Amino acid sequence: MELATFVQTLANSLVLGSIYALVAIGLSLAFGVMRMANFAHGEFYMVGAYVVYALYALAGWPFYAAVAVAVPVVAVLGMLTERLIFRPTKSNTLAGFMATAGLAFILQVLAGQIWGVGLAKQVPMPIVGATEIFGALISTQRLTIIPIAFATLAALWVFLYRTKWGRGMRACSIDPDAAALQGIDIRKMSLLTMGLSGASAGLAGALMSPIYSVTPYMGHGVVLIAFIVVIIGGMASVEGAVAAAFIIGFVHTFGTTIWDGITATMLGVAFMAVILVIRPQGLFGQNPV
Amino acid sequence: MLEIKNLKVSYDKVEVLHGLSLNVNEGEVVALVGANGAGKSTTLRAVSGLVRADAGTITLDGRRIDGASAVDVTRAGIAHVPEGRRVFAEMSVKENLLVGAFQRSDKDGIARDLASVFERFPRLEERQIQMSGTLSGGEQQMLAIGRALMSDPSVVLMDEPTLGLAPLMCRQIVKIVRELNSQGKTIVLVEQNARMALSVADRAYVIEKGEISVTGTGQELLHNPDIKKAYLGIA
Repeated sequence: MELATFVQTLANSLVLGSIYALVAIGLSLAFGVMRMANFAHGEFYMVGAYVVYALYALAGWPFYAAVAVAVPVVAVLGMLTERLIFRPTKSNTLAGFMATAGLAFILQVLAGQIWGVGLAKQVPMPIVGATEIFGALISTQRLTIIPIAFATLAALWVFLYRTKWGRGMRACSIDPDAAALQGIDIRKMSLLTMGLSGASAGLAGALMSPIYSVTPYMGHGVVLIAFIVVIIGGMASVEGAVAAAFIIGFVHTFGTTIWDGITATMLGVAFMAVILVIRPQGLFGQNPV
Repeated sequence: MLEIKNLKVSYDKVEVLHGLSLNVNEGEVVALVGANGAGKSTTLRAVSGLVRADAGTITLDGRRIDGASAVDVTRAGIAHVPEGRRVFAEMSVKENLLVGAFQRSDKDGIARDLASVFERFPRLEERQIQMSGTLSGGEQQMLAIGRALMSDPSVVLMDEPTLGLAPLMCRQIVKIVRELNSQGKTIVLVEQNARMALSVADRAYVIEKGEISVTGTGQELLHNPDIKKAYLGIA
């Protein structure tokens, strides 16, 4: 592989890894605190992209203003999901799974009804042009995703490891009963978790809207990858989700460049299978399931 | 101070406490002893709001706390050291202690209590950045007790604090219970190790099949022939 191709592929891996990390971290936080898998998580990502489409591409707002609105909009969507789905189905994990799968379809149909299902929506690039790095030309818009995602992940890390509510969130995810005995309100914590989970998925979708085509079904592929990432990382492990997101980002991008997209996807799934065999609890998971 | 009247609790419609009553006065160490499955832990779990009572009342200083959430019970001044210690294994020792102070916002008070926990348990201070899952059983028990103290409670509920610990460590726990009590904490101690519990308790209740069967001072029960036979292994 030539240096230019290599650098380009590397940059794309980082972009993809950043997006996977933002999406997977929300899935992992929600699973950790509530032991619920949110099948509508991909649709949170999709809604984030549509908010940018509506405000930036249609209404003519500045791109980053649209992104800044997408994040709280999807955070509220996440909190509503906690309040209306996870809280009532708390004692019944299967009901929670099915209800969020239903929510995924509802959000897809709603987006289709409002904006149409036909052609993918094109969100124009806010920054046109490319940046040259070691002879490789890389879309500047893509590159901007890397620092934004890294800053967001760093902020989440500081929140989880350096603040009272973040420590409380980790305690809930380790042992909810013991956390309740410390005076931690699991309901409030679940609401906060789903807010953060929605916010990070919404941000990922918003950032990706000018790069990938926006359709009501765009969340589907992403959420499958996010589940793979979370399984590789260890279901409730945030560090694991981030590490696995970049690993899968690299596998997918390099796989696609060297062979093709389908082979790359197969490699990612094969990697998950290997991990499940040799380390069933995931790379950073604590307890073998 | 803590008063339980006619408490009935069931798990999956099977009643395990059939109208249990007991009271704990301020400054006392009260032990609940009895066989495995008699309902000792359930009593503590009902007090701290982890299980709902079907009937009966629980009051703390005259205020009803049955039906209150675990959060409200903690805020009311009751700390619960759960059975099996339940430290947050993937968090450091210091983080575990800070989580214990979750519902407090007095920074100075938290710092003072953290220092006093470290003074009480120098082992924990040495290992404050270590993941608590890597501690020995005895150290984890100290951490669980320290974590409970971080909420600055007036009543400490301890569920089987000596379970699985070496004899030397058990004596250490007894010492800690006495110390905490002499510093003004009211303590409710649940133990299968009846000898240990009765020797440290001012008063004790024997729980059999979800009801109180015998009550008296720790010394009385230690010398009660029936208790000796049933729980102390002496004919």
